[in-house]
Amino acid sequence: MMDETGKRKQRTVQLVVALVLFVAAIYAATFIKLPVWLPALQ
Amino acid sequence: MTEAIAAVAHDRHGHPPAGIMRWLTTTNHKDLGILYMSFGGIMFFIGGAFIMAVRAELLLPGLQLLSPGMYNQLFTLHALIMVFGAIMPFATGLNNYLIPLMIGAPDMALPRVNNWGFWILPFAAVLLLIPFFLQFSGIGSGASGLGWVMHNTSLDLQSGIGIDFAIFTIHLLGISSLTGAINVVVTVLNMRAPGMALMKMPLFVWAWLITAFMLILVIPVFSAAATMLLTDRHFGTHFFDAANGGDPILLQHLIWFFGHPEVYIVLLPAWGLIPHILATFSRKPVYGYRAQVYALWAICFLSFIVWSHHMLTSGLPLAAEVYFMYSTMAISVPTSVLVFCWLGAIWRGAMTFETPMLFALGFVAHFGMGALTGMILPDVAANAQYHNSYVIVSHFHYTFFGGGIFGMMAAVYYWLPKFTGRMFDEKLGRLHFWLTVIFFNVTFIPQWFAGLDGMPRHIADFALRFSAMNLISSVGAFLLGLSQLLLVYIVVKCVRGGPKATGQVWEGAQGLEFTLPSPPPYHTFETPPEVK
Amino acid sequence: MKLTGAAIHDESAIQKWLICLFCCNKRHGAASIRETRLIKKQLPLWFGIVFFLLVFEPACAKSIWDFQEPATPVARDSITASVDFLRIIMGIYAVVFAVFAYSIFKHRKNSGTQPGTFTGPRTRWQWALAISPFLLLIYIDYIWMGIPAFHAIARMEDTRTASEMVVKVTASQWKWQYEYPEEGIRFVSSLATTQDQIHNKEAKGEHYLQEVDNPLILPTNKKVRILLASTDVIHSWWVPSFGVKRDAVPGYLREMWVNIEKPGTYRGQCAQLCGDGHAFMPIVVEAVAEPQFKEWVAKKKAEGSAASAAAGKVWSREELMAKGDEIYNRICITCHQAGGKGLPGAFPALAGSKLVNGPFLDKDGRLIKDGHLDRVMNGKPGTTMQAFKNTLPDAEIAAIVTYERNSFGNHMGDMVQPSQVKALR
Repeated sequence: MMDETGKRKQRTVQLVVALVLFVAAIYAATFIKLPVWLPALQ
Repeated sequence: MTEAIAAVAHDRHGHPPAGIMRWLTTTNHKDLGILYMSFGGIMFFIGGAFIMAVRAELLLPGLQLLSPGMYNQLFTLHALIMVFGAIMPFATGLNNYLIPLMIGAPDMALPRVNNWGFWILPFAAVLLLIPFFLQFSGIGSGASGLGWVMHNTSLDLQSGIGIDFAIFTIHLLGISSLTGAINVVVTVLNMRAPGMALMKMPLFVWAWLITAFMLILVIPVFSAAATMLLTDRHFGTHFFDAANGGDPILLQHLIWFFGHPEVYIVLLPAWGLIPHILATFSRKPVYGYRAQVYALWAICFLSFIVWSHHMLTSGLPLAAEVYFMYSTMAISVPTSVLVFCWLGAIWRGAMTFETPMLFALGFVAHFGMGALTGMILPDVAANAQYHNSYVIVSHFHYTFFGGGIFGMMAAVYYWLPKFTGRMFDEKLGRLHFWLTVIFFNVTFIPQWFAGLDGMPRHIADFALRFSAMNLISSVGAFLLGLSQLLLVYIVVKCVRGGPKATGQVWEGAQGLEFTLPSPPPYHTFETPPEVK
Repeated sequence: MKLTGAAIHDESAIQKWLICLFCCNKRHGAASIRETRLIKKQLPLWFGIVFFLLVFEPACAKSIWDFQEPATPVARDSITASVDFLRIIMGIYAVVFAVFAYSIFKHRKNSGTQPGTFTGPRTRWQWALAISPFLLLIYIDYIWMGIPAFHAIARMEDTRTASEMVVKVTASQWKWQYEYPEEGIRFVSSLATTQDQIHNKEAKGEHYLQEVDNPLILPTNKKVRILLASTDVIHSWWVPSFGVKRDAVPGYLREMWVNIEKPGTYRGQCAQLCGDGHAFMPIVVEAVAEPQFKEWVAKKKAEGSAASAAAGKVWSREELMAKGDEIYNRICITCHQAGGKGLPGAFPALAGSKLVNGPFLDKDGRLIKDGHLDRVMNGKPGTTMQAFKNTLPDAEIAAIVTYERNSFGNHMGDMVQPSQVKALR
């Protein structure tokens, strides 16, 4: 059993990890150069 | 709206260390807020000084003071410093100081990350400015002169260390912004006092949550574009290099996919705090709370799908031009929801006109002009004439200065008594407001007409037909710059002394932060307040 | 105080008006209420004036709200769209600002208003009032201005239908090359304003910074398709009177069209930040009637054959030096400066340069890589030094290299002949 503070800490860690992974994914995805492959943008 | 039991500060963590060590090692959200805001304020004046030199060059036709290369560096640094060094850190400082107070949290969720995020900034600023100053001792060819969005393929445009330093700065600023944004999201989602439901949060908190969300989505794209530029310059890749099969337009797409949301990143914090100020001095509750929250989300969403209206002359296909025109025009709807709510906020109020209220009303009047001119720019029939002309310069200063800076000024005057515990000199505050309003318009209205008459941006010297407008604009800019020094005097005077401020500060002020004494104790809400 | 029209001109009334505007909340006396009433009486007049200036002034001929005089159908579309839309937004601003100002004057604490407690529209009537601006906005965006805009873009982008001639514009730092592929004419157009004018050493001419050595000549009443290319960075070709602005992007061929209705001289300049010379990259178009255009084409063609004859003959040192001096002061001086001194940190000096004072051909008569002639003909990738073989004829390249090798204190004594350049292309 975790108390309220423990739960909050755990939620914080999960959220931070998720957000950092999201940032990394967007950073990496930029190198796919999507605008070059979209015919509507050429 | 909310009533709270003010938590009395415990001195559980003891007093902060004295002197410089307090500021270097602090993880306290109020200290960091003050650091961020001071940094933003200092950069505001550095960026302002750069543009004074630019306006001095543009006072008369002909090259008087600056070489064209120096001119390019100065306006580039002005833009980078104002956007990334002044407005964004200042807004981050406000969120640091205010969000925990507004939602009844003891501190930000990640206090150490917060400290790290701040202390990246001074180094990033130094890194950006080093090449500029090195050129005077004959080292390198100066700072980046590419404009703040590096809209052009920089490979052929400028060699030398300036751009590399700018690229590193962008990476550092990106890390700093991301730490701040993640901190806001986690704090707002996890640290609210019991009873502080999402739809009860003050609009400033909502605006910052949405801003943080936008930062998390676009900063990685900006950083990646900067990385690509770096590898193109030094490691033999060809992302943007047409001579080797790269695509210079790709750079514009990536930069503007970041750049358009960036406009709202600059503006949203101001949009969030204006309703607070209007409500306080009208002695009324916030008007259209839900409508404003939805409008902010709508603007956030739209900002991701309109970026190419910054590239309508780059030769996009017809279908893309039509799409970006119509999608951009859609932004006028949620924006006018906000304006409507601001009018609703003062309608049938019992208004008084203290300095923060004056700045908030000035914000509505000037931002309104920026928003309306923004409505006509995507009209592709006329866009070819507006694009990259002084029309654009005038327009975005009405949004960034008339919106962003007026909003931040309103925030300074509104919360300064809360931060310092002392009232500022009201008379000087009003003088500052009226000088700012007058010279702001004297500076930027002529630029609009110079643009309509065909004056392009970014030029160090201009044809004689633009002389009159530039002369007026330059004189206005000098006086506008000069009148901002009054702000420094007012703030310093307020910090050093003045009549004591009450906890509520303003007669009509609402919200958790006004249940605390002024200045709030070092640690607040260690026991969460209960929000009805 | 009597409320008369003369009160507007009464200085003390204006003073009180201002006092009232600046710090009304400090004044609670009866006088303040009287002044507020006075202001209210005057408000419609003030708004009338502002409204007239903002909304009807644009209707007058060539006001400051207009673009430059339109000369093509596209420019007329753009000016109509702009002026109409400007009038609409100024109208919206006037109405919104009137409501705003009314509220500021009327709903003050010292006029004894009880603050409302409402947080949104309540009655059906209020909801209708709240929704209607947005319906109006959508109507303006997507129907009133949106539909004409669509047609205007479709017309603007239709470069091919019924186009009668083609001109290719190639941008490079900081000049334009104009090419008429069908007529076989090609020339470079660059700033004609002198450095002395720019540096305030002599009086500025009427067309300061908007004059060129070789203007683009176009026939009137003919749909001209303009192709745009760039050899280095992105530039943007903009003549305000034509209503078109299009970027010249390296690696792409962009296009646009003009159909000039009136003969005349039209001026514009590069509109995309392209480096140090961005402000010094003007465009001048001379539109002439069809017969004069034909004459000009014939003259240009004759010059072209003279130039190729020039490339065939053997030039004397004096001829090369004179020609080189002329071209250096027109093109190279922008970067390498007078006397070949260069700009430390940005542009290398030619005086005493190792490259200029070194050999340029190897023993087999081939170009030495990174030799003087190679640098002039092929440029240096990644810098503003471009490949001049793309823009200059043989004789001019020969002259310029000869000139640089024997000026600024360089005494190489050798020379380059146009025929050599021709063979090395």
